[in-house]
Amino acid sequence: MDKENLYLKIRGILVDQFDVEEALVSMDANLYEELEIDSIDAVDLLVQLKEVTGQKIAPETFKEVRTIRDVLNALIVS
Amino acid sequence: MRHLKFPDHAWRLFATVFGFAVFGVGGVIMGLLVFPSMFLFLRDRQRRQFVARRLIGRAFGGFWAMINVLGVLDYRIEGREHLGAQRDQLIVANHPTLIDVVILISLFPRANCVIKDAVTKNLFMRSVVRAADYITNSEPEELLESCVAYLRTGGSLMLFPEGTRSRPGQMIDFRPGAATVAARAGVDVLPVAIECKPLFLSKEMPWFFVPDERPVFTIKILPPLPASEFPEGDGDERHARHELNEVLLQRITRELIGMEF
Repeated sequence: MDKENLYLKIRGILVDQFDVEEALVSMDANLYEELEIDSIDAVDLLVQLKEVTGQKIAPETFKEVRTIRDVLNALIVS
Repeated sequence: MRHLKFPDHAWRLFATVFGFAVFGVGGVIMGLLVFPSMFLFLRDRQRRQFVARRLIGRAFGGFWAMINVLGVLDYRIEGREHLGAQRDQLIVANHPTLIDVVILISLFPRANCVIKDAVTKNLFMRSVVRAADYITNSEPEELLESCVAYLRTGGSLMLFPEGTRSRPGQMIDFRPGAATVAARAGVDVLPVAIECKPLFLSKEMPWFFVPDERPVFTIKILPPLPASEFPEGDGDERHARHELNEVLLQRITRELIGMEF
């Protein structure tokens, strides 16, 4: 899955499941501070992305993730 | 609550150091001889898990009794009537000191625990964790899943939602993981409030610091919160788990404030 589709997928999950306002979502929005998702949401997001992409993000990398761009980079690199 | 009559500070410092030494030596013997041999003699995983957890419970109970008799600490346990049902529940406690885990495991020997990944790799601890079949926190998504799955098999599990020892002098705070596990598994929660006064073996305090007066632990087992009474959060799972987290935090915090003396 390319970066653009992956971004749309993440935005879809955030809006549909975590009640995030679509207008707030951007590549550089901070997941925890601006989008107000909690650590459990982050784990749920991770599980769903794993299902979509077949890729795992290492726990150490995931701890560093702050923005959607970070998530994408982690998925592309790993 | 029985202890020898050496209530002075120097004695308690000595007894504390002695306690750590016993714990260390005992841990090495258990981890290198006793628990590895369980893999030879107890081939059945369930049976081994049962025996291992019972042995850990007895050893921790014995250790606690020993430091109590030596005068390192006093303690009282309230709400023993809630100890009865040990199956199928999530035990949630605050974590003010290094050693509250010891008394909790001796009170709930059959419960599963989450062990730090680093401990699992420790040469001495590896066999203990594996024999007792404790959950290890290697990956966050698997951790959540294994906790829920274990509770659904009918076992009980112990979690410390602060995620680390409490910060002295601050109100405690809970991360939402434990509430999420309880809500997703649909099991009752047994809250336990633990207080230690004066504070001892807390975060930001060296292990050999011994207060002027003998520390008194109060372990208060609170009435269980049945899964049927969990907040519903207007049908939203995220709201529901935050509300449940708040309820658990309040129940335990209230006891800690109430215990001031």
